[in-house]
Amino acid sequence: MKLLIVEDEVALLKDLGAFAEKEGFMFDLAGDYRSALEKIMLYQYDCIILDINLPDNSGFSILETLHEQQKSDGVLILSARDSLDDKLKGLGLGADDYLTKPFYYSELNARIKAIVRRKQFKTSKEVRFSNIQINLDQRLVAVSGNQVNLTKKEYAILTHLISNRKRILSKVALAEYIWGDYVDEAQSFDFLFSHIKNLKRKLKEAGAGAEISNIYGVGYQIKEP
Amino acid sequence: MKLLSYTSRTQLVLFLVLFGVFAAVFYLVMRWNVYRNVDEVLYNRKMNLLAYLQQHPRAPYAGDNPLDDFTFYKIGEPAFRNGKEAYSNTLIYEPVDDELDEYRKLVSYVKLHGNFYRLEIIKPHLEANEIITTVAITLGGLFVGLTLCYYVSQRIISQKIWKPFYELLERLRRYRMDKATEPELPASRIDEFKALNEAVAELSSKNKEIFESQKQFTENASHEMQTPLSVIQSRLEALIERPELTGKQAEIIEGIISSTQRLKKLNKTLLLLSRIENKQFPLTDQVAVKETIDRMLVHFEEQKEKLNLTVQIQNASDLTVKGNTLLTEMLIQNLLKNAFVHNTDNGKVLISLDAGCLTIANTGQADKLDNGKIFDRFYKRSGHAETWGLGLSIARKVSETSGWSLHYTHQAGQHIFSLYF
Repeated sequence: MKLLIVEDEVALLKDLGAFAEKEGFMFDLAGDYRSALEKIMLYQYDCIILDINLPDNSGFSILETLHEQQKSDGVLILSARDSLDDKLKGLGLGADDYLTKPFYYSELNARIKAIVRRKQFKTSKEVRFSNIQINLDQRLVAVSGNQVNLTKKEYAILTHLISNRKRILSKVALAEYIWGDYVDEAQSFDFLFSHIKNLKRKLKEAGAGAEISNIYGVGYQIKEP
Repeated sequence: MKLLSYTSRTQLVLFLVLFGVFAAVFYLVMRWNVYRNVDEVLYNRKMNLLAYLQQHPRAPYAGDNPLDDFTFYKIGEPAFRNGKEAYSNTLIYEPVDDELDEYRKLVSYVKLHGNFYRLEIIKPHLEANEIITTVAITLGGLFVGLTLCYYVSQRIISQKIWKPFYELLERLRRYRMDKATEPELPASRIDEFKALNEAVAELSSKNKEIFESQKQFTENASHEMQTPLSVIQSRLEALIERPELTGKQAEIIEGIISSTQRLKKLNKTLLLLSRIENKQFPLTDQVAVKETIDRMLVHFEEQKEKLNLTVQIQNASDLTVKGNTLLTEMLIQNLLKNAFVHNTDNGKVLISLDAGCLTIANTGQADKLDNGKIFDRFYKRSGHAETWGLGLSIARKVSETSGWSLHYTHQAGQHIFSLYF
């Protein structure tokens, strides 16, 4: 799986590179419109992470070029511009998703994977982790073939943890993923704690090998036994 | 007092003084003219009389004859020598109309056929009263006429010439900087009003520019903050994954993550507010209110369980309103969040949806809230350190933008927010 990361902010570009490396993606970096265009012409990418505000041209132009060249690279727009117009324009020009800065890497990761999954037309939308199987279409979770009943939020937490198994998911990022702006942070931590407690119990009862561990109270990570 | 009536009044007073002075001068000039005229007549009469008497020495002149206007008084030579011709005013009783009439009298000293005489000739003349009356009538009439003309002309001027000014005033009164329209200025032929129009146009366009750039500034500043915030956040995420991380360090980093998150949310909220102000949301969606509420309520389940709240939905009608989906969700989310978060143990949340009105009532610790302040930005009442005090201000802003009205009341221990669509 190969990514192209287009971002003009050097520090962020470096971080995005580190993120891609950690997740085990192959990737190219482009700091401006010209070099991004060059790479798009030369190579085929599974997903392009595209910043809209580039110093020498707009990221929208890259989308237009992709369209003209009839390239099927997946595109995730990563922009500081959180306006509906931009969002609609980007999606209208053929982008697959739109993520607003600042973002959590776990969220970015989940979205990249979703795009790639869609692009690859995988028939079996199933995720396996240890002896846990998740059917993403039907939103069903089973441990060693036995179905586990999870609430919507427990399901969301579990899939997000598995999707980001290579990283520690901070509590804040996880809470934002689940509740967005609906719940204040301090309360969301309590709620998150009780959801994870229930999730752990259900997994344990079902005999799951994987375990959700709490890292110094800062975040969570799901680990294989 | 209107400028026009003020100037008119001043001018009329000035006119009045001017007319007074002029009337006095007119009177004096006229009297002088009358006297001069009568004196000339008297002098001519004297000369004619003397010439006639020189030629006709027999004519009876020495006695006092009531039929004529002259009288000869015989005097001695010394009196004749010392006598000087003089004109004077005198009053003579007129039995016919029983009053004293004004006469002009010439006293002259003459020598006729060897005798010395004092000759007195009298002539009636235009009386002072009559002069004054004439002056008063003519000048008074003139003054009244002038005032009337002046008033009428001023009325016409006021209506015609000042019309653009009053129109401009009215447009300025209705002008709102945050509305998109420039005040359309009425055309005028008057230089001063043209200059005023130009000045107003310049002022309004300049203000508009500043206002726009101010609005743009908030949005741009918030945008620009997103990237460094992204970097901070990504670095912090990287930091918690370091293998050498200790528990103490993790605690510190967690604090920083939390603060960054808060900053991020604040920034996002400010951006939202400025984008609402910049009218970047089209209000053309059909939003199903009941559906939106149901969708939102899921997010408050934990809070509901935690406080053991009772949630009731009454008269839920299938209300669809015209607005912006995103903003309407934001509005309802903020109202619900407010009702759920600031509640008490075993409290209640009552949601009722009548035709054209959504009411969300909740029990809460606080007494009646300050109606004038709760919708202000950064107004916090309870000890919730986590809130920014922006939720209700967003709710109010959205309702204003969408053309709805949001009201707060406190009744029977419940905080009630009513949204009229």
